[in-house]
Amino acid sequence: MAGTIDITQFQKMRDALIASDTVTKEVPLSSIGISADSIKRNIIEVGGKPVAVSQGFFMKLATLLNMSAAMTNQFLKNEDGKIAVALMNGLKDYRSAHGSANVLLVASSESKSVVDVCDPKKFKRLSNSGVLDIAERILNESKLITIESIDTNPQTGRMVINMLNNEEIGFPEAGKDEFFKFGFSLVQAMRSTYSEGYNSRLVCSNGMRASLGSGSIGGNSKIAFTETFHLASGKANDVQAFLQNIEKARSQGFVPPAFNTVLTSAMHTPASLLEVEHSMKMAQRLVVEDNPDMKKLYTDAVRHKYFDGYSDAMARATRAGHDPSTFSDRQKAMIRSGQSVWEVVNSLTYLGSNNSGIPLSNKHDLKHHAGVLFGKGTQDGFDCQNSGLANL
Amino acid sequence: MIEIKGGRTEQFIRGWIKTEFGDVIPTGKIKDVLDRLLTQHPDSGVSYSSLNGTLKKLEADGIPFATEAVTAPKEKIAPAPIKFEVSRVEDMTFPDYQLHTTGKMLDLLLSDHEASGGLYGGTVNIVIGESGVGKSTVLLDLLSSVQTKNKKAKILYISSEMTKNDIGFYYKKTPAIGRVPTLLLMNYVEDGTMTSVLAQAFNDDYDIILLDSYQDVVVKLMEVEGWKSKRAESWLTGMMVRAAEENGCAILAIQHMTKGGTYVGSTYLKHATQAMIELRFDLSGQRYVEVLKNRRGGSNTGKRLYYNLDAAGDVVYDEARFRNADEMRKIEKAEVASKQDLTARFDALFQEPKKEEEPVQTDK
Repeated sequence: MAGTIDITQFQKMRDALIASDTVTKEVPLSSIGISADSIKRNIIEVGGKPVAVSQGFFMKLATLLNMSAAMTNQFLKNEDGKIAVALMNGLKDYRSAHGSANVLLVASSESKSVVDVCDPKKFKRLSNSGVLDIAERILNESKLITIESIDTNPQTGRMVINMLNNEEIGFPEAGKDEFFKFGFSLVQAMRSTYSEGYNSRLVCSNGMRASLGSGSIGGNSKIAFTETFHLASGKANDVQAFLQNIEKARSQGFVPPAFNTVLTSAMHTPASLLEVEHSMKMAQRLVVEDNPDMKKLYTDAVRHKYFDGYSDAMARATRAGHDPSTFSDRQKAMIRSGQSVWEVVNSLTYLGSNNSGIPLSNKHDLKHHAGVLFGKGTQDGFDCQNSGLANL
Repeated sequence: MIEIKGGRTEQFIRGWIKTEFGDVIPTGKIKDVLDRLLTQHPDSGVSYSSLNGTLKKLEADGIPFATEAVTAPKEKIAPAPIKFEVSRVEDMTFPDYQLHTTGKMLDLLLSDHEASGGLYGGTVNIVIGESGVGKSTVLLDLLSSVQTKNKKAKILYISSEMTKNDIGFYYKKTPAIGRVPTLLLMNYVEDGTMTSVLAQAFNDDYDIILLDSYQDVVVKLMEVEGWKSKRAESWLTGMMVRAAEENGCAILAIQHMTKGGTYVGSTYLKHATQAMIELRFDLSGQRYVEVLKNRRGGSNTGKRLYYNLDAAGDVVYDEARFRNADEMRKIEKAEVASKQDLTARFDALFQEPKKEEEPVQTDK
């Protein structure tokens, strides 16, 4: 759903977005039953009735029961019978420790399966309807803010409303065509509702989600891109506090003060082999194609057209007599690719925002990944940003 | 011989014994003696302990005991029947009480049965608030605004605490008071006419009366009339209720708060009145008005209307903030309904198991 969405279109989309919301139910932990073949069949019992669960459900259950993540992962990967026994024992232990505690089951309307289980107190997610009400209110309050796009993932129930301030802001140090619009995203994650910064590069309509810098709110020069505003609950006071945060950010134009610095740095810093590889593989994992030959064509296209720095670095390493397949992540982080960080960020945002001709599922997640990569510039820096220090 | 001495009650008891039994102390149960006394003098106010005390004093004076014990009166005098009326509500007649509006946001807080909102005639409204929050200023602004909107409205401000000079100083700070007809009760304390002046004012045909303050008038009534606080409160409350019920007057009575910030008046006052309005400072020191109880109010109880006192002494209400908070409450309400809907949809989603599924063996 790209392009500006006006209020009329938004109203029309409401019903579909509300219908695709994850559904929840609080149940006593004692009502959940697991059998020896639950994991193989992805079925649990709730109150005596069989209920379908997603593949990731058991991992979430194991986390709730404080079981070792590494061990659980190993068992699940091997479809090991031991995991069922461990989960059954874990349930018994949890019940003895917490008595008749309730848990919250979260189900996907799309897949008709339970996808998450958690402590109800830790579930801070509003309904889609509530978030849409808040978005509508923001639109009504500020005529300069528009909805740029709404990204959804029917499998996980994730919904992201990307909103932009109308003002175009240029960064001449980064280039004469570098104009951006800044705003924020209202994010419906699995267990929480929050907002983070969003911007769109106008030259190619690439959207990028990056958390709002604290400096953009409080004038703190030590900004981080990691600040998010969580909506604690749907209670009037919490909603008001959340909207006040948005308003404060709006009064600053939603622009993190360090954006210009990070942008310049991203443009002049070569991306590491690790940074390119992570980004490329993430995009390749999203390719949806049943025909294996076609799928290879698409994944190759992702590599050659958008992440050509990867091939370049791999070839250089081979020519120098190394076997790059044996490199550790730490080693890959030290190798310069043939692309700048900014080029990698743009490849991600382009694939995430535009129709590239490559069939991608949940491509909107790439906008977030781009924001995470870009945000590195405000913390420890990009992998190769300080490589010159090795020569000191 | 029994001497008539002691306090008023003791003198009464001694006199009664002398008349009833001669110069002897009545014997038998004290309760039976008391019953006999109260049967004859139901309004005497003699208690068990005052009778007992007087009897002991008589014994100490060397008064002999009567030979015959007093027995309980066989028949108590039945109280005269009180006439009371029972009628169906639909048979009652109701006056068409006026709705006084200020044209400000406060109107919606006072009632919202009509789109305009406003203060209903025929109501007694208690206004409580912390010292310095602007109780008098807000209410005088209300009177002044009503008067501006409706020139025919007959309004009265009764100040029990301020002297003429006080009000003059206040007028400089708050020019709005200049248009408000004011009665300074202090002028009638010394000559003892305060109670009559007050009664006359409440029996007149005023549309709105602001009494500033209820507690101070109670104290002055106690001083001027020698009444106990309960009697003074009862008299004043009764008069306000009658003025509202019978004359259709809207009464605003300022009431003090305790130092702990709680309501200081009696439960009777609380229940006999139609609305309880509170003016407070919030934690950040901003002033707000909130209606805690409102029998004419509709849906705006419990909502804060913030206000400021500007340099000219005018009251400026923060309308945007009020409407915004209202919007937030709507979102909250809708969210509760949405959450319930999501639970219902969860149940519907797993209502029928898929056909290929077999029941699972569970270990609980």
